[in-house]
Amino acid sequence: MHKYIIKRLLYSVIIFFFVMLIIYVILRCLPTSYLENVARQMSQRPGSKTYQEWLAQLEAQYGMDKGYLGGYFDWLKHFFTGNFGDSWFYTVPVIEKFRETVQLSFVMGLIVMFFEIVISIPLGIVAATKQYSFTDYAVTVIALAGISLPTFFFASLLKLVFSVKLGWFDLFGLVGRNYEQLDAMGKFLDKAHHLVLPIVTLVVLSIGSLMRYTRTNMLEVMSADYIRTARAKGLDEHSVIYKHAFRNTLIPLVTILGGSLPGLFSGALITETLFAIPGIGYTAYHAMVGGDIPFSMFYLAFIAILTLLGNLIADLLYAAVDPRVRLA
Amino acid sequence: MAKKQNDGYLSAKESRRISRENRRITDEYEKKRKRKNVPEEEYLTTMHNPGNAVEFDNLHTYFFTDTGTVRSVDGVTFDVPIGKTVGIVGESGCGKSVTSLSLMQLLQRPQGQVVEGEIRLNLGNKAYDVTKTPNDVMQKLRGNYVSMIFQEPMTALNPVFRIGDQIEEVLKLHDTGDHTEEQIKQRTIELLQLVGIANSEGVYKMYPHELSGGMRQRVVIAMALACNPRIIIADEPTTALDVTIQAQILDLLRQLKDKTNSSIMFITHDLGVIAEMADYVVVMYAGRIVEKGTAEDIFYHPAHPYTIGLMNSKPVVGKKVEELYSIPGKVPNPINMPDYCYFRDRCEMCVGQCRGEYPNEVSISPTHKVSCYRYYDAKGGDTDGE
Amino acid sequence: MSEDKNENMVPGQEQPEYALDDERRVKVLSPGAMVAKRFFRNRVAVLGLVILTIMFLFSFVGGLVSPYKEDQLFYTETLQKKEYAGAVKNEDMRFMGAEGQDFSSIIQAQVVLAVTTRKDVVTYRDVNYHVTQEGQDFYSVALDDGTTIGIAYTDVVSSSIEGRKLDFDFVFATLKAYTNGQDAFTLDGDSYTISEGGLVEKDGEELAFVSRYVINAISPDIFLPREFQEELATSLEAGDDMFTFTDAEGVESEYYIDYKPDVKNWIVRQETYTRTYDRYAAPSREHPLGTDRNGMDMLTRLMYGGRVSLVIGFIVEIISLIIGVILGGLAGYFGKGVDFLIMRIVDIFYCIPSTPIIIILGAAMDTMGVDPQIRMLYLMLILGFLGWPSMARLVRGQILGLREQEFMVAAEASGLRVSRRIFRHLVPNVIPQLIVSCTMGIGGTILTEATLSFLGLGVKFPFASWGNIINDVNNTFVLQNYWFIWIPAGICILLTVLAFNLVGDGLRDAFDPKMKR
Repeated sequence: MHKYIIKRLLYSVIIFFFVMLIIYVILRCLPTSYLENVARQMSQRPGSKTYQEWLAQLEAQYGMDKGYLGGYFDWLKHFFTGNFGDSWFYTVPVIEKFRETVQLSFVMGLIVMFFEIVISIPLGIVAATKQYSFTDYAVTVIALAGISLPTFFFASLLKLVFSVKLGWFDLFGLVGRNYEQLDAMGKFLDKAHHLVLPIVTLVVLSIGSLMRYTRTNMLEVMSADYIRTARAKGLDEHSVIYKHAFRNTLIPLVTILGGSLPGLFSGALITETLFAIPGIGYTAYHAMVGGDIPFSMFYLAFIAILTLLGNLIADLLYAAVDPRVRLA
Repeated sequence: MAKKQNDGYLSAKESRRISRENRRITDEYEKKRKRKNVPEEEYLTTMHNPGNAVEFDNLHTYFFTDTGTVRSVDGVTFDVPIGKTVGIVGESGCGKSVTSLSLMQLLQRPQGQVVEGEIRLNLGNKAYDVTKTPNDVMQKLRGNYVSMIFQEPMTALNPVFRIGDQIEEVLKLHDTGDHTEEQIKQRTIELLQLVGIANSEGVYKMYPHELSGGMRQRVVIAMALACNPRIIIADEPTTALDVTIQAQILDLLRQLKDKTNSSIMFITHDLGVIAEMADYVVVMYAGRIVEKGTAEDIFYHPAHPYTIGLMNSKPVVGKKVEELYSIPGKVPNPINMPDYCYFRDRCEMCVGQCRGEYPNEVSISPTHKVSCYRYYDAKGGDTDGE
Repeated sequence: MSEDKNENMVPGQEQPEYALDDERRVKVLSPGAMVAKRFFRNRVAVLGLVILTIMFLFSFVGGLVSPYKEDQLFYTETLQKKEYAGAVKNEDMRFMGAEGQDFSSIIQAQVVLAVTTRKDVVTYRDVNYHVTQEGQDFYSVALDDGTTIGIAYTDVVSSSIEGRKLDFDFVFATLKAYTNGQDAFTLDGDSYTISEGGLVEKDGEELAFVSRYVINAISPDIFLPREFQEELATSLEAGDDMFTFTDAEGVESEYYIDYKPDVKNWIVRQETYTRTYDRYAAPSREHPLGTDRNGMDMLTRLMYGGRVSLVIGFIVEIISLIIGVILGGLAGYFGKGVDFLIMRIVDIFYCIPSTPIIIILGAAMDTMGVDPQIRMLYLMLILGFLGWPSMARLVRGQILGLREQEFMVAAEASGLRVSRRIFRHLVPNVIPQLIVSCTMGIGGTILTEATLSFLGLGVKFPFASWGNIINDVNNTFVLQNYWFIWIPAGICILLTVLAFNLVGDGLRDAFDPKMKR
């Protein structure tokens, strides 16, 4: 088991190397006038260095003066020694800004995942067991509609109905106007209140795929032989579905969910931006659009690591949950 | 009649018509099935012969498919006496499995429906007509009075539960007394030993994938025996196993039959197995019984040309032949069957009367019945059916 | 034995009687027909197909049918308040020189000095200027010899007749009479009357008027008639901010007065119809969905946008398909080394976070100022290139599974050559899953493109795309009041993607031979 994990980790590191190389090359291939623009902007900020100094610093920092590979190894070296650089956009060290914002995204992600599971899985099971009935069609349409909705459209609709017409929620932001005057509990509730709409958006958009996946797996399981055996034993339909069939469906479900756990940290880019929730997604979006290379590189590296980690967790979970599987 | 297409395919209009018909018919049946709180009188009945465990009486089970109505079981009548083994022989597609599934009421709904007939199940003090029994009552019978051993042992067990749990499940389900956990566990281990698993304590904790095919089949048999059912249906239990294991499993079943007093309905296409196991034999072809009788009747005096053909097909060790015999042609598709003897086109012993309707059942001896025109003269064209 | 019974015609039946075991006896559906039947039985999938057809017709045919072009601008006449005139209450002294006299500003300054110091005479460059007060805030300036060279006044005399300038003598006489409260005066033999309000008439003809207010039109070719100025002056005195005035042609206009305290000016605005871009017009018969921020017809843009979105979706999918099938096919078929290498590449690409990369590239293209048309091309290439890994994995998986099945071994055993085995036996079995995957993939691509355009990083103006139409909604005002701008576009996206997904799902169920019905 340990050998397997170590092997996978090594493998992940190699993949990471190549992924970041590609990303680095892409960023480097952006026109040099890009860096010049940034240098110009930076130099115009009050109390900042001159354009020349900025340009020189940036070039040195990104190894623009070296070749691609040289520059890349520089970055790698910095990355693995924990030196993530300073964010240009936010003028603080990258890691600091990151730490501030990632907690919020994670909490949001966790809540969304909870609701997602609680809603999708039962609906998926019901759709599978009552195949071709009205319930099945309804659930299918809802699920597919959920994944067909553009995030921004749905978010705007929610805003229109709930913020503008009904006035229940603020349009943007994490905190209200009189946040400062509230006590600790009030502050917490205020934040929670502001998170309602973004979380609703995310939940609606994500239940679709999990529901479909559950349904497909349940259908496959339900047509298996051992279900017939279970019925022949005299078990009532409820036990057949929820004990025998579901336990088998759980295997791929758990692996998928486990694999998406690391993704909770990556933040929902679009939703956070639309609602101006200062999570990691929102922060990263503005950094990327504003040309903040240190932050972008860090964020991209972060996501790559999360993806690899997610794959690893999914595989490990699969072995843990399915007694038939023994890791090679 | 269906419109002729260039390539012999069904036209869309035909297929739609068939679908609509099917929908209408199955909806009717389903509505009847879905009623709740059906009073017992509706399915209570009496056995015609209290010495029988199960009586199949003119059973018709049809599947309403897109290409037409498949008459899987088309008028099947036979009895399974208590404590005896009845072997049901036939090639693939003749309806033997569907007969047993009809008894268990495990047909694929909504296409499969019992259209006509009765299946009388002897419960000791009363008898139920299984075809009219509602599902919730049926659940109490399954695994309890009637149990089934399926064909594919490799996939019959749930891969995520341990063996012990799976056997205990059926015990707990039909538990009449209040047995403790410990007692149930004991019983399970007894069962495992009963079916010849040496390491019963070990296997109790194992998962299905850790066992071989033969072992799994033993476990399935143990599950089937757990609640001392009156009738065990064994649907080709050894077909998927190799011959040596097959011998062991058959031995096991024979021993068990002697120990318990259950009847066994043994479904197979292998005559050798029937010869070893069965007291009575039923030969099916294309959904109907063509011949039935005791094992001696069938093996020593095969009457129906199909039976004769089957016997001849089995190579005998030690006998030298020029060419191995096989019955010419193949088993028909049971859709839209006509009204003449089904075996006519493959039969090498046709007589003039064969051109007419489907032959009725004729008795050659009190135990031996056959549906063939060749025996009409013997009994003077007497029709004898139940 | 069974074959010769084929031609038997049993009397009473229409078709030749087949032997029971003859396969031709029972007719079944062809595989294609079976798939089609299962598909159409699924009502939801059929709904999806219908929606898809409608959207296609809307986007492609609609564009041809619509009377407007994609970027056609519309104008409207809106009632706008345009600056018309300015008014100032004259506090300062003004000067007018007599004809032919030298009354330069230096002299004027001297006069001011004289007035303020209450001197009668000022000397400048050895010339004496006599300042005489003729009336209230009215002075005349004369030389030693008595020639009047100019006047200094605070009340302004304006001509009532367009184009006719008033001469010095007239002004002098008028002012003299006015500031002394007289109601008549004579000049050169003509008698003039002055009303209390300052209206100067001769023989009933209105010639000029006097007022404290200096009123000038903004545009030099507008002449402000006396009535107007009077009306305005009255309003200013009263402190009104609005008055109505009917001009000589009988056109009544409203004038709005704004006071600018920093310059002590009043700005008079007239409400007129001006030709502006017809922005955010409400739905009407000409514009069933109104117009957008730039004055273009929404419905037409929606149609063209549909075209863009759909075409991008297709092309991206085709690119992914081609690359994915080739690489996945190679990996699946040849296995071992090739498979290993290609799968590693797929792993790497899978690991690249696509959304952030696309955003960065989009932002970069913004900075580089790429031409909108080329930009769309780049966009398609990028999206296609980021999408091939999943297709490749699917194809590889299918091929690996199928390759070991008996029919392939049988094909090989019967001596078919490799290409025939691949294309006639393997590929047709991969196609069903491919079709399903592609259909769902197009839906996903349309969403991605819409999101990008919404963020402003995808398809750019002047090309319309459903996403960039919704871009407007970032402005809260638009969100609230102009629902017709963004809701139809959003619904279009939703319906189209939903339809693709429904059809894909229906196809998947239809192709699956293990389905219950």
